[in-house]
Amino acid sequence: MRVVIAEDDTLLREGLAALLSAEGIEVVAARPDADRLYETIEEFDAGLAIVDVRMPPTYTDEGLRAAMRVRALRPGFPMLVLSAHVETKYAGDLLADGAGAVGYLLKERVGAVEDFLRTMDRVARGETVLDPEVVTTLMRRGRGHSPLSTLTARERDVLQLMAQGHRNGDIATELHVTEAAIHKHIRSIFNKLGLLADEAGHRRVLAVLTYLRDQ
Amino acid sequence: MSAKARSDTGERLRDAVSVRRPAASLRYLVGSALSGLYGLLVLAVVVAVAALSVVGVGLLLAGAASGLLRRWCDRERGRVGRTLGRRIPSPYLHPAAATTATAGPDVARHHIADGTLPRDLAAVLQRVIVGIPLGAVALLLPLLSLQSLALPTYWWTMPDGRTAEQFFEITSWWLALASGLIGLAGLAVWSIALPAVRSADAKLLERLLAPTRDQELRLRAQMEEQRRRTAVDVHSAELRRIERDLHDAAQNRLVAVSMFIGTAQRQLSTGTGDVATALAKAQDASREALAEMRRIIQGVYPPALAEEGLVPALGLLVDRMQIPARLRVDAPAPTPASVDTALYFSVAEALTNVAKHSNATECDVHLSWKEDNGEMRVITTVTDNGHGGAEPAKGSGLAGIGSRIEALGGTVTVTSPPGGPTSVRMELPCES
Repeated sequence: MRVVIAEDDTLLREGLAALLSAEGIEVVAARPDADRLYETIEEFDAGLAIVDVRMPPTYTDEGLRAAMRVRALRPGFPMLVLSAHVETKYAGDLLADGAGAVGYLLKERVGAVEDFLRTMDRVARGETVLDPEVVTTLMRRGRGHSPLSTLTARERDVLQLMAQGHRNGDIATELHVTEAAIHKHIRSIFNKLGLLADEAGHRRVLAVLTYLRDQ
Repeated sequence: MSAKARSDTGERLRDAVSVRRPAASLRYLVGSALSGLYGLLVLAVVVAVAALSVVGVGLLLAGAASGLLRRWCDRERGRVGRTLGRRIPSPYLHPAAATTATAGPDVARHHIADGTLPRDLAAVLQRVIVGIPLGAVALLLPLLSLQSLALPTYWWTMPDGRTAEQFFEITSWWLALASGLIGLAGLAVWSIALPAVRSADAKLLERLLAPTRDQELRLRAQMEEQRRRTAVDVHSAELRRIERDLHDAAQNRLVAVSMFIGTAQRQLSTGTGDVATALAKAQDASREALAEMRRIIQGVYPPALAEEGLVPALGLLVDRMQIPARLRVDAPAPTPASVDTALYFSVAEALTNVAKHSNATECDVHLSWKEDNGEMRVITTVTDNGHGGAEPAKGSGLAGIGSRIEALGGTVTVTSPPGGPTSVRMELPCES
């Protein structure tokens, strides 16, 4: 996998590059800003970008905007966005194009190296992975004034795990039920959220999007 | 009799005999007459616009007319205030200056809501009715008196069949002498009464121009509200700064700690790589995180400021500069804690700007205290010899300094021509 890193903190940038290199992942470029993220990706023919949200010059959302630009120019390009804190709006922006291959994680998740590597893999394969913290926040806010409020507690658990990018089998293991039961829950979730269109792959993302649009 | 009262009496006596006072009074009263004439025009405009407003068209001009009236009143406030030696505050919640750009019904509505219109109009009327005649008398009386005084010197030169005439026909030396005495009396009355007339006129007008008790309270409430809002803004800016510090420094360091420990764990489980190096890096990062935390705590409320006071705390800031920097202090006086805090952080911010943006090789912090109208003020100037071109608008710390100082009723002046030097001058009242 060829990876581009955009992170302004030198220690983190170099540490992350070293960490990935040790795992046999090729870090083709590591930049302290997000100005030319798209160009860098093109130039080095990268397959995934890891981008910090807060970058110079204003340290607000430069990284996110650069990531959005890449996604606009190359729909579905695998993008793993790291953020210092949970900002559901950012997650919403990233997921809005519905093309998948998006990860949105709290920065500190790089500490759990194996999980982090797995997340990178999943994003590179086109899955959507949201930080558990993001999902929890969305759940908390979503309650009470949306179709989400009609979900049962168990369905909410399932949706939460879906939003984190888990497959049905993983969810079943996590919740100690059969995969068939998970299928039933997911169908029910889709129904309650009005996601009846037959685009099975996208419906998972759409379900998560329902939370985000609800803000 | 107190010393002050004695000196007042002395002043009054001196004023009565000096020529300066009648001359100043004459200037004031003639100015009043001219202002009255202009006031007549203002009144005409206001009345015309009011009449046109009944049919609608006037409404568009109402703001401009009201602005005209207010500017006339503000000018009179300045003139009368100078005459009485005290500032007459404007009673407007919506200042006249704001009306030049946007004239219209909205402005007029705001102005009418201020409730100052009747008194403003009364002030103009007083100027017209009292000011114009007084000005005319003040101007003509000395001229007529001088002419009467001069009559004895030339009445006899008049050709036959025509007599010189002032208040009566002059036909003899006795009458000429009488005319001279009348002239003298006129001049005496003029020079003695004029200052009294001037001050009476000014005081009478002041009663209409100054804010009423009610307006004063509303103005004060408005000012307090603004000050409170600035204070809240400063507070939020403060929180944002702390948040950014925490994010940029401490949080990133801790993420690095976690990342290096994660790396070490991974290396242990896969049996590859140098675990000791990864752990050493984690150790370094955690040490940096602690140092950053200390720095941030220092920024929330510096211990030096709490324990030793403003000047020693500023001394520490100056000592910490990488370039040669010095602190000069003239005639220090006590300042309240709020002023100390605002100044400390403003100077810290200014010095950060110097270090980050100015390319300066030297800088100077100067503190001085001065008394102004019985009010103690502290003036702080941070100067550097850098390349200048600092702009408060460009999201630099300068804007933060501005709001911090203004929240306490102070002012900030930044001079930073391209090519330098840059100087940030902060002036704050000590009683706040």
